[in-house]
Amino acid sequence: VQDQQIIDLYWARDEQAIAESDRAYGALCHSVAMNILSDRMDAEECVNDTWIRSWNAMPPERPANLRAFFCRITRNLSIDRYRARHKTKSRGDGFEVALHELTECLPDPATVQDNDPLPALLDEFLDSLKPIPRKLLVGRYWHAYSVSRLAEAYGMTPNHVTVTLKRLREALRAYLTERGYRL
Amino acid sequence: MKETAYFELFGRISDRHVAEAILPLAVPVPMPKKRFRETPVGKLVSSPAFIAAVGAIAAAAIAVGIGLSLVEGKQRGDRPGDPSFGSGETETLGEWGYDAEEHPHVERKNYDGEVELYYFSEIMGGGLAYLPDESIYAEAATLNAELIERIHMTEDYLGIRINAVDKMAEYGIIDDLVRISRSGDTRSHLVLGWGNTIANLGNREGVMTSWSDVPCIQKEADYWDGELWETCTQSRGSFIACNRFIPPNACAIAYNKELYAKCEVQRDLYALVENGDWTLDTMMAVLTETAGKKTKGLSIGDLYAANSYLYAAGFSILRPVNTSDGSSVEAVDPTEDEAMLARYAKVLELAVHSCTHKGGSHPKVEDGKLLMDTRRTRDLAANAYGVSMGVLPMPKYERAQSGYVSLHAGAYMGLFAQPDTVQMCGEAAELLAYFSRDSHESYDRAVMGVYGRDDGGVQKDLAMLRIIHDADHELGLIYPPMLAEFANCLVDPVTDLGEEAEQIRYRLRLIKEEYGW
Repeated sequence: VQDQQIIDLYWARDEQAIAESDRAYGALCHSVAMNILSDRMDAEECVNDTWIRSWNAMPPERPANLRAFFCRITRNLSIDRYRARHKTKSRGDGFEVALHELTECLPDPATVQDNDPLPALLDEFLDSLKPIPRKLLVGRYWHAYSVSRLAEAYGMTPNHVTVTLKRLREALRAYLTERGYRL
Repeated sequence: MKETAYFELFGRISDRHVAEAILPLAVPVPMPKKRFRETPVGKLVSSPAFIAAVGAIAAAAIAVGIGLSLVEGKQRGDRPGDPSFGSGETETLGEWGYDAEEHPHVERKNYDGEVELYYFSEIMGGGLAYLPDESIYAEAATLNAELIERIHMTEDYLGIRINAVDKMAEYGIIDDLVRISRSGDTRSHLVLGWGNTIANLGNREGVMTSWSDVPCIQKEADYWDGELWETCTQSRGSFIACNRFIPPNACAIAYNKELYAKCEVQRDLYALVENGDWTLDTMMAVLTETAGKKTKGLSIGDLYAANSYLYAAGFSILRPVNTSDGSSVEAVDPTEDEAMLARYAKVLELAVHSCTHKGGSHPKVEDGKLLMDTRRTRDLAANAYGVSMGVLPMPKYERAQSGYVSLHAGAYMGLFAQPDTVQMCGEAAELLAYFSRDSHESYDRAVMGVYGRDDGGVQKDLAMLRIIHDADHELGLIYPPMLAEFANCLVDPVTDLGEEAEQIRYRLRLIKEEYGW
């Protein structure tokens, strides 16, 4: 079933939409949740919640990129769950490392208003990168892929990925600093 | 968990970037499949009887038709490391899809096995010859694509998979090689490591295969570098596969142009090189004059770092030789040759002057804290340091020396094999080199180009890079010098300076006293 047909099913309020979504993107969303939560049960629940959230969102929404749309919902749900689970103590795993790394190159979120141009600047910065560095940056800090997973995918060594990400964070930091953000 | 808010913030990037970075769910690790002509159908359609029955043209058409259906429409980009990985291109290919031309000395095989290519992460900076590398070089994408193509062609040709295995540290490779050798492990292993470690292992531990004993290696072919191979042949054999990717990775002397200009020394360094006057003596004179200017209070020791590469200026001292009794000797003992000893003393003297920096962090040329240091030409060519760097070849010993010699410290571009599986390793190494023969031009262009410079000196820089590239290249440095105690004093002269400088001075004095200087 094509993406457009899945969207049409949602708009038609046909419950088959959820089955088709799960068939087409269930595994992908599960991997997104697993990257953040590292827990199969929690990931499973996030994926199920993703379909419910999608059901409530469509209509009125008609996503141009359904894959990214589902991933984004799963990611947000997973962050909420992660936050609830880790209120008191840090986990010290790869995802937490990724979170910490992000603090090096982004402004304090509390200072970023809804109408802040930051998201557009992030896109602009990403557009300025070559494809592989861009995919590494987004893969690590959006999809929360582990360094070893990225290394395997792009035929690089883990050390090389780590070094590349460090350079990219430095570049992003400089990019935002030049545009007036205080990091 | 305030950090999650940062994660949410980054989550606001656009969908196109999100979608682009999604990785396939399960990374396929396909094993080599039988080649089409080895399947029952393939054998049938390629048999003489069949061909006779339906005619050559019809048979070929059927073979292609059936072949395409049998290979399941394998897509380029299905494999991690493929430059188009995840791109969803739907080019239909057989195996990896490369119908490589026949190598005149290597038969097609189907080993149905794996070759492990050992390396350790530290050498990634020397990638793009055997390992894909996200790189500062403008043509990295092209080079990576060519590299992956020749790896796939080799895999197809031999029915193998070449798996890069990161040993994380050099000692990991050494341990494994010794273990493999002693255990009789018959799997195939290629090793990409620092040349000195591997060469010494081959020489001392006897765990490596001499390429001289591998018949399929075509040393005289132009995709290998026969001259380099000769320079690093030891009495026990030839352990380093010297290819054409080595020259662009030579050492050079980098100098900070801005700092040099501030010193107001009236010597055009590039002119000195072009006139053949760039010698050890000249270099010492330049440094002395420069220090005399007291720029920013820097002394000569602050202006030049003679790290371990500099004593490589004693290249002919370190040249490996074979002895009549067959014992293992890697280098000429300079104390047996007065001319060599004189050269060595000069190098030591230069090193002594470089050891006066006191404490603190290692000064760097790119930080404007040091005038000269050794760097790889490829990094200089790519302007990896963000400042305007001048490029100089290693100085001659004397004016009369016929030309400049380019030196290599690591020779990490070599491939190495362990004994028990010499046949497959030899074939894989030979094919990797053979299929690289059309890549050297773009490789040289990429690493010899000068990018991102706007100081007007690009053409002169390029001329220097060309001199270094086209000079004779010397790998002798990878072998342990006979006078190792001197070398050890020079390995890290800017960390424990006072004491080491004293040691060097003391040893230099001993040499001079003993030999009458």
